Amino acid sequence: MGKGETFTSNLLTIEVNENEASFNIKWMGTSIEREPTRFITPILVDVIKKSIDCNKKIILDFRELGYMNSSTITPVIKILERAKRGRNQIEVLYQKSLKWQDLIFSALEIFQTKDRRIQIKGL
Amino acid sequence: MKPLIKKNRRSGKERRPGKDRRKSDDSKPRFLETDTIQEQRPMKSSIKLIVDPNWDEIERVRNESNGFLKSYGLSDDIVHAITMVISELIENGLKYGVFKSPENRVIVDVYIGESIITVEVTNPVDESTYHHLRRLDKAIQWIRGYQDPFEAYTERLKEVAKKALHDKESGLGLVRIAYEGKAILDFFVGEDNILNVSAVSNLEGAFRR
Repeated sequence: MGKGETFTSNLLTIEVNENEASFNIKWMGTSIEREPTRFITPILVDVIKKSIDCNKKIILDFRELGYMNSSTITPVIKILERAKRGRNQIEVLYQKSLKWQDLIFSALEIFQTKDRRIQIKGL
Repeated sequence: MKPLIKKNRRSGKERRPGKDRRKSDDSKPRFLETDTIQEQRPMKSSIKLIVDPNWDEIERVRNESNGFLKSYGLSDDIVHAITMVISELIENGLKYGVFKSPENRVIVDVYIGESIITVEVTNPVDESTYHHLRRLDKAIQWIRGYQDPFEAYTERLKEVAKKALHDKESGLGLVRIAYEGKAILDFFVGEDNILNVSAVSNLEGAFRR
């Protein structure tokens, strides 16, 4: 049985669900906060720490996200950059059929690692 | 410090084809046909949106501009891209504008032409924001230095990713407009200290079939 937590800030909801193999972080709604880092970074940092302790993969699932401003991309890429240099396994999922998601998330392939610890997947 | 005033390089009529086509009576919906697709689209090809200096206004303006762009028959992808352009430019206007009196607001103008769409966002500035204008100038010149905005975007992603976790600065907005919005950015400051930032996107293949 997995454990779950839901975080909401204005129009953005982030659901964190833990199961035996991974932490699934589902992003929903719209992110247009002036400083989304304040809300997002503590959630991501906490999951990053836990995932190292439990040796679990992190799945960042953006498929149900309607829009995010450029300030929302910032904490995500900072986490990917740190994970790239660390031991975490992160999978970023996006909806390839949505052009905006394809443009934004396929660009994050620059953070992919050869050992597939960091993967960006358009589904 | 010397004010940073630039002349508008644009030719108003070419950049605002929608305005030229506008008729005096807007009460009845009109339709036009283009050579590219044989379908009817509403005639209204421009919109002006007034934004109070309040962050909560962004969602309202996003919804209004989204409705306007959809009503023109643009594809969902283009509607999303142009709404993103509007949204990012309003964010900058609210962050760096100077709103000392009630009439100081951010104004958004969207003009749809035969082959281009122009988004213009204006806001008041003063001496305290000249350093931002220099950064804006530098950022736009830097983006123009890349033949492919994707390269500029990924380059900026790499730079931003290395910054401290709690650093508030994103610096991705303009390059995202160039990349995702496929827009050419420009700006000038009028002598009335109004900053005008424009983004011009190509409309090729933009209409819903």
